[in-house]
Amino acid sequence: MRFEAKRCGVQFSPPSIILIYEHKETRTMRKRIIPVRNFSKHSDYSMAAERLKNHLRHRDYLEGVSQRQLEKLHIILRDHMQGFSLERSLALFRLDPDEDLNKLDEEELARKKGQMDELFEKNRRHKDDPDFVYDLEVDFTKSTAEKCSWDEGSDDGF
Amino acid sequence: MASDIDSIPELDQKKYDAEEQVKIICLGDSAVGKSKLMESRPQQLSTYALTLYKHTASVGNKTAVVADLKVTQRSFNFGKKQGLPFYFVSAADGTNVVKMFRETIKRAVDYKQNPSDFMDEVLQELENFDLEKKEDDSEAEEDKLKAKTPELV
Repeated sequence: MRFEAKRCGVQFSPPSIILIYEHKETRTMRKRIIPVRNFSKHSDYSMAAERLKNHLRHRDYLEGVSQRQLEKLHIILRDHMQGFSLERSLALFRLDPDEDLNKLDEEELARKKGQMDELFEKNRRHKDDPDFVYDLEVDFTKSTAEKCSWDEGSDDGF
Repeated sequence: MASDIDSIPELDQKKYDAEEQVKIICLGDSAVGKSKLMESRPQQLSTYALTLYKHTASVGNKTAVVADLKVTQRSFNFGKKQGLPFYFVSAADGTNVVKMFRETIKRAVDYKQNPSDFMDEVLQELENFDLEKKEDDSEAEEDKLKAKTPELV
């Protein structure tokens, strides 16, 4: 990798992806502003992210930036175009264990799932990994058993 | 959650004995990890001839917990009280996924051979009856085709 992506963000005016990366040869930190064109509040953020990732001029710089991350940045841009505040936009990505996800619509749910994917991919074992075990068994028998909050109160509700 | 019906390449239903066919239904809250679980160990599970159908259903209920290893130290009484088997699994690294599916499929097959519920027995008889009827019908079709093109026989 000639360029190692370090951080990424967005700029609202004009809509752009900002990338902080290290130029490996010269060992210097640089900033690249990637304009996001033909993108409106109705645009498909997934396709837009994919387009950037494969873009001839930008793809070498975006190698270390996942599709998921690019999608998230596009969603934030789109939120802004719809008039959301940055706080609101970021809050919609936050994972709250007490939130009932069954109440969300497809798009809102997709954001949460995208966030969950971050940890999922970190833990994920691919079949080509040297430490991959197909039938991995782990024993969780425990000595002390802490109670689960679902079990408190009435059981009749189910 | 996918709202389209998705299935892996068609199986030749006739190859598989009725008694060996079981249905596994994966139920759970939004974003709890149903699809991830099914996708976690796909190839070898296909030796069990899995047909995957994705279906969206909305039933209001509880929440999802994100990667909390302390959760494996707690006890969950609901399952215990219903006499349900309980597993801690990880779709990401595969912990206990194959074990869980293998044991579930075994339980389903065992139960089919020995149902403890009267309604289940009745439904099973009906299912076998339907399958026999389908076999008779398809044999009749084959005979018809053979009659039309005798040179292929």
